[in-house]
Amino acid sequence: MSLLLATLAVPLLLAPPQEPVRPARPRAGLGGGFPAAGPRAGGWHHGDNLVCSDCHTTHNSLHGQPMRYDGVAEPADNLLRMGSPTELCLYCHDGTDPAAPDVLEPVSYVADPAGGWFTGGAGVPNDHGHDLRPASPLQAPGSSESFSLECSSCHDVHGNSNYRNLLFDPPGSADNGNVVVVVDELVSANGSNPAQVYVPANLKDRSGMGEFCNSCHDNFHGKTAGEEGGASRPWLRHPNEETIFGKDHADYSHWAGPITNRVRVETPTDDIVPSSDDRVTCLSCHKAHGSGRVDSLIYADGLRRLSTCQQCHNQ
Amino acid sequence: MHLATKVLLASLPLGLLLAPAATVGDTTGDFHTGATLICSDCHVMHASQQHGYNPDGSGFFLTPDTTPHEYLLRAEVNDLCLSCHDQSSVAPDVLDANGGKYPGIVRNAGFLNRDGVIGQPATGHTLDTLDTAPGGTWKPEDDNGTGHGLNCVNCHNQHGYAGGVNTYRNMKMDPGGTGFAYAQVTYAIGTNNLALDVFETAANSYDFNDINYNEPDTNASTYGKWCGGCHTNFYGAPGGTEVGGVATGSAYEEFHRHPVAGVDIGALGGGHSSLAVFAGHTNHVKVMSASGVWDGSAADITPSCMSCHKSHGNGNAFGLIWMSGTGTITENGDTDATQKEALCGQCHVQGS
Repeated sequence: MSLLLATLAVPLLLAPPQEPVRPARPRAGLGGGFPAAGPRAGGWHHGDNLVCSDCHTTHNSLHGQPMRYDGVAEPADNLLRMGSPTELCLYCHDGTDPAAPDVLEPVSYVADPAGGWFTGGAGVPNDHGHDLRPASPLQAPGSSESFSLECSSCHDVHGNSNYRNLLFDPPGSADNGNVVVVVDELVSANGSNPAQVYVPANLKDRSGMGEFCNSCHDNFHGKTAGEEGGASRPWLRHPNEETIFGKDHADYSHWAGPITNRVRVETPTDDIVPSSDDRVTCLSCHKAHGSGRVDSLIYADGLRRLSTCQQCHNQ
Repeated sequence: MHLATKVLLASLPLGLLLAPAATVGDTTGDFHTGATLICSDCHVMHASQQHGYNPDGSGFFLTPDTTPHEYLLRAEVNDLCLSCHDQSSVAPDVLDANGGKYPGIVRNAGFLNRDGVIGQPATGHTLDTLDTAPGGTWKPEDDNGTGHGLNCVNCHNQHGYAGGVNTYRNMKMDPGGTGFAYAQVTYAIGTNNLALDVFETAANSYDFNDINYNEPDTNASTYGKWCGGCHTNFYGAPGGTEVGGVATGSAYEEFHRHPVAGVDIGALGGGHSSLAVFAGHTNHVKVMSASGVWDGSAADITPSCMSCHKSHGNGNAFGLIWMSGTGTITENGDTDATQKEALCGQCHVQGS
């Protein structure tokens, strides 16, 4: 018996953490070259693209010199090559490395990065999006909890099969590590093509982003009376994952018309936008990182927040 | 679905394309429409807001109630509208005393009262009232749900109308649940257009002196018809079941309700209305004119609802306009009037 238990324990110890299974979903009318559904890496920092030495140094020493990017001789926690996870991420993602998508304002590699950008770096407060490493924890709107966001608060630094390596169990989540965000992309990252990968036109949002955001912004998503409200009554908060088509207070014919700068929507069952399966999602109105606009809002015409509302509502 | 309903629905898009606004002008309501329809003025997406919309967090916004409201509203409808439209410097005041953006004007629409809150309930339209509209069967609960009384959006389309559809003050085209495009009160701004129902001499003007009423159809009043959306029996053509009347020559008499369209002042003379009496006043109540001349010097002026009542109300019962013809014009009429009969005397000879 002891031998058997000991034998069982070895593979358990060696087994990688089990990831949630990406759900199967209907895919009618697929086209345009978007990959079929199925597990895949988060894009970078995963699988063959997870290069330990990009971020870690075993002894912080190479030929007698520190290996930390900031040149500090003192080793950092977790063998990191910068003083904190966020500083480490920003070392490459601050626009100085053309191979890595820039997440700090000003962004120059594309005009409209899908995730937007952070205004200021770590520790710089802003009203334009998420605060990175604030001086003290900040209460998430829609939640009673406070957080000190690092890049790693949302992204799995070692990668996973979620879109953009988003965590399966983001902070505040009561989802038991099963938050699956499904976004398909036409062009995958190859380490040198951020301008082709990290742009809205490359993406087909399928599902899960609302649930991910809701992990911290508890009251903003869900169909209970304390959240968006029930479907049988007028909404209390703007709904998420609701189709534009067939809704009393949306104008699908307008949405289906010749709109410029169309905002992102989820298109769970086909690759066609606009079409009747299009669903509003958090990223229809907000950039995930920030936008240069208050509350990370997207101004579809570049000038007015109203223009974003009007894409669906046409009032 | 009933076949007739299907046909109606199928015809709606075509009807929209052919909406009369496309031919009579492109003026929409002065505000809360087009570029001045600011979603966040009234709605909040997540029932949560700590700062304004300017990049530095400044800027005007109404703090949303802590309890979320349906339709993502920042507050219940009347409370929400009044948060700007009552004693606020950002918008015209519509409730009781005028402490709003234009405090010195005589409000052409007068002012509302609010059930149990402010004003007298018999003086005009009463916000929150559950009462059935006089002359009709419509009651606020028909549109607003059980326990919900009269609110601003029973009369005004809070979103204006898209596509350049022209409605004065964003007045709903289906008051009282009358149905699509029952009454479209059109208007011109700055330069009069006799084909439109209302002439506002300057944009965003709410002053008595700046609002006049045309008569595009000398046999009807779109404005009166609009009021009739709720006050059903009070509007109709002369000779019809609502106001009655017996044809006499080219005019009518012996009405059983006061006419509000199709009857020129002084058309019959004698003991009826008198154009000379009307023209003799310095202060005139509002009348419709097909020629755009409202002082009685043209023979085409016609009374309608707005001749006797302030649409919102005033300090008099029924929102009646006690206007003697002399003195200073006020929201109640004018300063020389001492009784409601002054109003009748605007047009009628009896007692003069």
